[in-house]
Amino acid sequence: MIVTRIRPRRAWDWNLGEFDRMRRDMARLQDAMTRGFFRESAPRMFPLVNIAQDKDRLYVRAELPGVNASDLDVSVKDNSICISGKRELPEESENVSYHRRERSGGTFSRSIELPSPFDRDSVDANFENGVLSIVLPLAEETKPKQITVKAG
Amino acid sequence: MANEKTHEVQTVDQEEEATALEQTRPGPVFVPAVDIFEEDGNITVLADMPGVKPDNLTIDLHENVLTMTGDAEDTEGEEEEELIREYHVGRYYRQFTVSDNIDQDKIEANLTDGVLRLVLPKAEASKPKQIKIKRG
Repeated sequence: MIVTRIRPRRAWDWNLGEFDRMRRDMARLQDAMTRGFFRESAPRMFPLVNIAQDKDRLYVRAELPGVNASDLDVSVKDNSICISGKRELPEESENVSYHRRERSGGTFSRSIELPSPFDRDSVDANFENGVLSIVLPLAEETKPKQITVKAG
Repeated sequence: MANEKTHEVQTVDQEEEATALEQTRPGPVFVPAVDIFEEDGNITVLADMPGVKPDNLTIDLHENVLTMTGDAEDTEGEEEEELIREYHVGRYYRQFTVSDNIDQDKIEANLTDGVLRLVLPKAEASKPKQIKIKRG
């Protein structure tokens, strides 16, 4: 006869893996919560933009599928850039029946304030494959300038 | 005052695909917004896929399942520091079952300004035929 001793489970008998799992679940929950909050507060404007910067330039990119270049307007004023225009959905004939309709058309206008002063005369905008890429060279005075240290 | 005739474009959050389908390439997968309509014996699909070039687009119709996969080009440079990021660049993927029989040889695909336009002509057999009623 085989006798198996059953040890009563004590608090410190917990598998350390359980703590790990709890920690991961908490982190995932926190991440989901903060992401949800961010989405609430972010302005729901079209188009969505990504703004980046390197030492010489500012880059603004926006996704504008289905917009004709002629219906797109980009202008700069002071420290902000304005992207506006209209997205036309092709007119369909009378006897069309929709199975699904997720895309929307209409006008849009979005003004974004940029963090650094830029040279408005050398702004370059390119529209390709429905993505608008704007390159704004930074103004000279904001670029770091090397100052030579004289010895003696 | 807002003009009643014009309306503003609705913004749609990027929908990330939570799919069990394993992707061979790492990165986010998004569901592109589509319009599907039927007209004059054709089914037309319009899908928003900004940043996708024709070389990076695959369309497959197999056993009445239409699959579209497009990889968007990421133009961000290495040296750039992100200040604001409202959208991500990744793959666009969507599948549909096409109920009617489609004439596969006559499918037309066009990708312009980030919009895919697929025209799927319905095969002759599935078009409703008028049956003449003879006087007898």
